[in-house]
Amino acid sequence: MATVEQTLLRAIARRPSRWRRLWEGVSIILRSRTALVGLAIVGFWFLVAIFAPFLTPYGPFDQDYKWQNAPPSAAHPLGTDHLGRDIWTRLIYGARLVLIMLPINESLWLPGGIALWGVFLALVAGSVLGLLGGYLGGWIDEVVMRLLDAMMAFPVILLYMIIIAAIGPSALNIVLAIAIVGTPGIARLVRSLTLDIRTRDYIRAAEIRGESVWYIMFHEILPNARGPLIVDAMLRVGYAIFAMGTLGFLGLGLPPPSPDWGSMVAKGRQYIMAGSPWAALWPSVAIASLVVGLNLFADGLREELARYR
Amino acid sequence: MQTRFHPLPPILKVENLSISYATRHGEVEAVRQVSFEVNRGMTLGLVGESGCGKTTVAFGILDFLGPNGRIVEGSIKFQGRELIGRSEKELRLLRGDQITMVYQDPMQALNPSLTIGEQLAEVLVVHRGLSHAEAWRRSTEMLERVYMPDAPNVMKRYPHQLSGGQQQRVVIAMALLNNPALLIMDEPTTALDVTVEAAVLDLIEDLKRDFDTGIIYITHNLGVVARVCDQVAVMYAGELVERAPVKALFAHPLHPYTQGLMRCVPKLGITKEASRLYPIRGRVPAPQDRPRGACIFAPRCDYATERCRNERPMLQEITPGHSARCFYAGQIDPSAWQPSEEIEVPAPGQRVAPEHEVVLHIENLKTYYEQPSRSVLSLFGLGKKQYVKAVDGVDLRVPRGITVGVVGESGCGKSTLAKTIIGLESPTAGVLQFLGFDISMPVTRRDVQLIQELQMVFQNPDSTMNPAYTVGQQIARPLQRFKTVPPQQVYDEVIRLLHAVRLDASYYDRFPSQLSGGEKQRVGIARAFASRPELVLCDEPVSALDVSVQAAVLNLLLDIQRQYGTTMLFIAHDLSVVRFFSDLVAVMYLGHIVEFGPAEAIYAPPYHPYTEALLSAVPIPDPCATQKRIRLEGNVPSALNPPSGCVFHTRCPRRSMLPDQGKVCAVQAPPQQWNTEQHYILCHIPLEALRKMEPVITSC
Amino acid sequence: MFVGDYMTRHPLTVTPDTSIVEVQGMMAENNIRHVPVVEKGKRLVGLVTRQNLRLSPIELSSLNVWEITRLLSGLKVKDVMVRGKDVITARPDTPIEEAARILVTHRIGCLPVLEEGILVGIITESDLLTQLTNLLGLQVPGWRATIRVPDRAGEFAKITAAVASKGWGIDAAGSLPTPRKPGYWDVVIKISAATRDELVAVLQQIEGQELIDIRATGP
Repeated sequence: MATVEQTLLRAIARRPSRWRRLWEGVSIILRSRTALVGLAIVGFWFLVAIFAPFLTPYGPFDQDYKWQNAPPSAAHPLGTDHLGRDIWTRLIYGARLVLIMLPINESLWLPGGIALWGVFLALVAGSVLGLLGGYLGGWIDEVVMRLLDAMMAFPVILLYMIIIAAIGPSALNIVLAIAIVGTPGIARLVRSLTLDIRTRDYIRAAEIRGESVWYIMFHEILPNARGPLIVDAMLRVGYAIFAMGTLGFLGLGLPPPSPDWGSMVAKGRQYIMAGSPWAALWPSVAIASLVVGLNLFADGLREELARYR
Repeated sequence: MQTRFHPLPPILKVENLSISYATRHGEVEAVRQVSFEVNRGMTLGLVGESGCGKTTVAFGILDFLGPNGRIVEGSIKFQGRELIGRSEKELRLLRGDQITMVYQDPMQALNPSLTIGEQLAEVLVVHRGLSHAEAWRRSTEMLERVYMPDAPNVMKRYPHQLSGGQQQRVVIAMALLNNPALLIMDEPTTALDVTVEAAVLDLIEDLKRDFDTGIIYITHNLGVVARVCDQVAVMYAGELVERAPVKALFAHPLHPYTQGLMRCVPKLGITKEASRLYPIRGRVPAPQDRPRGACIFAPRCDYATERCRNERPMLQEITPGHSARCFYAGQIDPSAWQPSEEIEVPAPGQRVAPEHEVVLHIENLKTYYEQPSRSVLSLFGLGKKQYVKAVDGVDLRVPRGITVGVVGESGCGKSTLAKTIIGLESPTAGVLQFLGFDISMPVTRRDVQLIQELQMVFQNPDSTMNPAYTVGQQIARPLQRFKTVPPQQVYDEVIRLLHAVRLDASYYDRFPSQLSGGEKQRVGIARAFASRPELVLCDEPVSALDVSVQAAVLNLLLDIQRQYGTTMLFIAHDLSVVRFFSDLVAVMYLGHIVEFGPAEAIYAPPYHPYTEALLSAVPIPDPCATQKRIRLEGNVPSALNPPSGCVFHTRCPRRSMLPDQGKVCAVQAPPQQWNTEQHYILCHIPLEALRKMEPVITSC
Repeated sequence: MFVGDYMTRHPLTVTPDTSIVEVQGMMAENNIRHVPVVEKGKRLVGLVTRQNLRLSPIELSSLNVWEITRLLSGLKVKDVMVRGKDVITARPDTPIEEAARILVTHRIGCLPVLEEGILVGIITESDLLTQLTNLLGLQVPGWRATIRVPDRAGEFAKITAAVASKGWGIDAAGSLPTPRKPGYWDVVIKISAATRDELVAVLQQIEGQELIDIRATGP
């Protein structure tokens, strides 16, 4: 009997606090106008990416030779490119690559876009390295940090180009490049957070319990670095999208005919002087709006978190 | 003392001041209708627990409320002129010129990149338009005035080159340079060691007399109040509940809250067995939950009636100069007070009979830290290695079921001793045995069975719990790790532990951010006792808590200790708390135990000269008790190069009792002189001479 | 016995731009008659007294109530104060009798006390009179004896010797030439350790001196 009662009690006791925490998180976002605007922009791109096939009658590779470099019209709301492909269609299928699907090969794809996967892998690698360096200190810290410093000494674009040039352009390789380039920054952030958190008494308590290094790093320290990490990761998704655009523009992005925003800008650029700026303009706007949206969201979130710290 | 036939106008007159802050939960009233006066050469103590609004009042006077704070109503008259509604420019002229403030952390007021002299002189150059040379000369004089040794040299140093006590002296000198009419001090000695604190308090007394400055002294420590204040205003939950001359307040506290506070404070001279601390039940209401049309203290008051819950009492004068905000002030007899049933107070005199089995055995324990040398050679491993001798030859035997208190100033090695025992530091040499097993290795290499028998309670309630997990998860972790109970019983065991620390089951799913400091500390205690350890180290477990909460946590620790028969090592700097809590006391100085014995023996002659000095520095919450005035000179020497012979000889005030001004002290290590079977003193002065000394504290 | 010891530190001050109405309020509320005027850095620039604030009867008679109010509300301290160099001041190391002389000769009520141009205090008639009472021991309870002594060396020593021989202390003492009786001085001493009869007995013993009054004084 007692156990039934206690189970009930547990359920009752647990519920309000869970919901309250969730609600608190949501209400923080709702309170910041900056975050709300950012969320709206990012949300828009996610929605169009998910529902892309229902938002356009065309496919991303459908060519219409009658409509080359056409301005916006009823049939093609954003116009067409030099091969007569609908730009709106290519944009929203491009958003899928960035945000919701990662093509491995012709038939297989993983949920989560290239930018998201890249940042996620950077987050994993950076967190491990940062935790190791920050918590263990000593020579491990020295080695890890000097290596990452060396990587950070390269200009980001150069680093991307070296990596892609070395392993060749493909969706998976771009993910890898984003992860490699993002790791040092995240590692530094995690390390500095760790240096702070590891002085807390609850870490002492865990050490006194004789907990393993891994338990302390991932169960005691990492959850407390969550807030700043989420904000940082969001900013990094923005950078990653930018990097994808840059790589595409330089011809190191996804191989054509993929609806890669960067390569769309690169191709479209040739026709700007010819009187049809649409093919270059819309993908640029797409990149810019998504990056700005993510930045606004992250900034708003950071401000609100700091205000009530 | 000058007598006058007509009273001078008060320097500061605060009337009906209310201050509120805009927060997430809307506008919150932090201070409500507070009135008081400050006169020349008078210290007004603003006392209360954290969150009672005392600092807010100070910031209100200075107009430092920040963008979300505002003064709702009331008047602040400084030197006859209203401050509220004045322009920012006029207020800026007053601040620093006629009103100055000294904060708890001296580094907040000092610029780390300028020398002391530059900072002091700048005050006079900017505010008074003096020439640089003249300003420099006056600044040096002022440093001498605050008893800074070697003032001309200190002028050339940077803040970080001074100790905390010296920094606070510089800040006080800086505050007085302009000869301000009003000086606001916000806990100026809270961060200092007790011996340094005593010297700074002496200084404040002197300065008040010489400069005729009005002082508002904000503190939570009733002992400090009794020492420096003339008038006291007691604040509770944003309201001023009692205002009185200091002697009247301590002799006849009128408000039930003040009476409750007095019952919470451990007093020196009271033994563990004969005393009880009575915490005030309940907790301070959050600003948004405070009752409005009722007495603010009614929910926690033992005398509350229907009237208190429906009507708000006004501050009324009961005897001349003594006012209280209570309907029944003057009618309540505090001596007839009985604890209500809600608060549990461990019964005195139930001390576990000391079994002679020794749980912890320490012999000649040394813990040295290697000091990185700054020379180039050290880069190649060739430099001479230097060691900080944090613990240097400690002997200690802790019998089962006993509490051993360890006291000493910061830097005396008491925390290192604890870390070495718990396994966070490795001893350099010596014997360290626990339950007969050698534990001179780091905790990671110890056996799980041993780890579980050795736990710790921490000082800082804000960092003792991991903010990412619920209370239940954190208490459950040691149970799971050490398999104290079968997995399916973990939940029940956690609830049982929560009950043991007087928290109900609803705390299981709360996060640390939803708890108060005292509650966090209780959970920390539950976590430490979860694995049913044999020995628990308590590192200043109550020093960061408010007095009323402190009493409750101390009672709880005592109670749990009796229930489980746990042995405890209690590290603290507060000698009255140690006295209340411990059976045996060890006094540490620079890595050595200089005196060890039963608590009663430590607090009565014969004393080690260092113990004597410590006792004479403790602020006692009783304005009519007399205390010997012994002040140690200088700072604790560096543990890198401890003094030869007796480590205390450089500061010892009793050295002159020995022939040749105590030459032997500088040369020879002092012998352990056994006063009784359990009590020894590490000193060259013969026991007979030490026995003849007067007790430090005589109460009236 | 210097001004620095007996002055009031941290006096109430105003700035040149303070309105007259506010100063009047301050004076009435705190029952004071003089307010030094300072500018940045507590440098003295003037002094306002109740006299300064009073309008002359001629001026008053030519105005109606509304005009007086308007005149007053527009006036600033700088319009009525005694200015900079005209303010007579003292230094903390001025002897108090010198301060009294200055007050009397200039027929004024207070002296702002300056240290290198910075206002550190104020000393008023009341402060000096208070010290006169202290000088004659009004602040301690005891016996106040007036003794008339001939104007020659060694007479005061006789009194102190007689008192000291009994082991009493003199709490306060002062002497002035006897008015309208040249060749004599009146000495006032204050003694609290003795009873009246003991004191009378001792003082009457002194040769060539006359005890002319003894009474109890005190706060």
